[in-house]
Amino acid sequence: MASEVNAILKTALNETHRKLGGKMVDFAGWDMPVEYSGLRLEHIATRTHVGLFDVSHMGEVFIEGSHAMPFLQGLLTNDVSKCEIFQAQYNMMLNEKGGVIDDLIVYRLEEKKFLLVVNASNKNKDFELMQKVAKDFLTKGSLNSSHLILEDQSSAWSQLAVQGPKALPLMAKIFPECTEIKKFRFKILKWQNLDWLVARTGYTGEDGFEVYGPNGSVESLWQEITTLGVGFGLLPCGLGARNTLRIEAGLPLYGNEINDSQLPLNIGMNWALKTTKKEAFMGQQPLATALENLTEENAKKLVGLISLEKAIPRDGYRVLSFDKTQIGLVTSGTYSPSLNRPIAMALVDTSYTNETCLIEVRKNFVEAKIVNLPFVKKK
Amino acid sequence: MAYRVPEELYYTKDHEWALVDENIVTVGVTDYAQDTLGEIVYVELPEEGQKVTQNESFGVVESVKSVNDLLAPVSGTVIEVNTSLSENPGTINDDAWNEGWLIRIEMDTEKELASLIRAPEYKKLIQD
Repeated sequence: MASEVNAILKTALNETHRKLGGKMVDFAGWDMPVEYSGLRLEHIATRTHVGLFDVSHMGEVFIEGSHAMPFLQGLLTNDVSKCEIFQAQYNMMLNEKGGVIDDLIVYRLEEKKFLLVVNASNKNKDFELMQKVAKDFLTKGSLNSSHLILEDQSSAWSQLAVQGPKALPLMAKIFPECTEIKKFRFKILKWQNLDWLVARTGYTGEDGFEVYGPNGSVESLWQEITTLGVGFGLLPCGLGARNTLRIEAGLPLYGNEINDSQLPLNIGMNWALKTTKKEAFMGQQPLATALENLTEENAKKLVGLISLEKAIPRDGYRVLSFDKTQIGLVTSGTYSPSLNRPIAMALVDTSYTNETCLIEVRKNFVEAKIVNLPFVKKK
Repeated sequence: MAYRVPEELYYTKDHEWALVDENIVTVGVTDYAQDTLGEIVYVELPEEGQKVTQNESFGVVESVKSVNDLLAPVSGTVIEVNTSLSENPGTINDDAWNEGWLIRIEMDTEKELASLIRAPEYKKLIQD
């Protein structure tokens, strides 16, 4: 039955969200809270105190074996050999045209064992492709399946994000050693006799942690964080605040700033595209050619736009110069709870040097100020 | 969550309400609509004297999350606009049925009311 195949997915915290009055929506096939007490309150709580997010819809793929490293080097854009044990690294996976299949975080667990955290909406597509690439990789190298093991453990793992200036003192009450974790590093820490992967990573522009653990115990960790969080001004936050926070922080989102039909150029992530690393990776050729041919004239830049009027620029809206020549496109737009203004991220020609521009909002043209990202910096 | 759905109003399937007083129709969005949208931060409304057409967009309501067209429940001429919403769009969240009204239309023909739905049917719509 199609209805069974397409049954909506639920995280281990689904009942908890409902009890908290979370407004549930379908997000990439998952029944997720978009907000609880209100998007603006949740957003501000994360900027000033601490927010707790259930992001268990994200996918977890484990890659292990003697040939895990060369496999990942051929699969991903960044130089995975530079990622140390207990370090996390931003990566992209490209198709043969150089478009982005997904962006993801690699956590190096051991010398030859890695955790890849991918977007929920792309997980099945990603894992199918990884399996196909792995099969070709093994055949080509006359290797067998003991040399490279891929496991999709998404349905067994939960992920919580604890973000904001009070995330550190709060989490130190549960995981005392987390204070020693540096940015983009992680540790495996014990709580209630279980191992938790505690990483100093996030998607809000604030300091904070992402914690991975088994579905069966995440509810008790959620309760512990919310109970202790009362003294720190914690609010549970939905996916609505997650999006406004990441836009203010100028962070790209798959489907908006990057997608499978465009080269991931000029979005401020070129440092993750290592076209000069020893091993060739999927999609490297078109990407390398494009990077070589990049000039002042054809380059674009991901910038921030602050609208001087009230309508909100949304993704796909055109960005124009004052003589109505198109100079770019909006990739993400929202109302900024921190700035109390409509804001947007846009890919704009670098040759356009004016400090203001126009955005076509339905049939009107609204003036906007061009600013560097992020809109909001960590205090 | 149970939403209030006043019996005396007409509704569109797009979640606008219409209060009919002879040939004058006051239009707003329902409690369900404002709650689903979340915090409303911007409203784009027509000018007085502008013509609107049934089931066609007469404006836009934007929340942090999304932008949504407002559809006219009947055709006619806009005779009054709730201009206070341009400064305080959140009034729609606070009081969708009264202070959060959007426009008043002088309707062309009462016949169009037949294609709108009433409270019991609207309640059923938002329960599904």
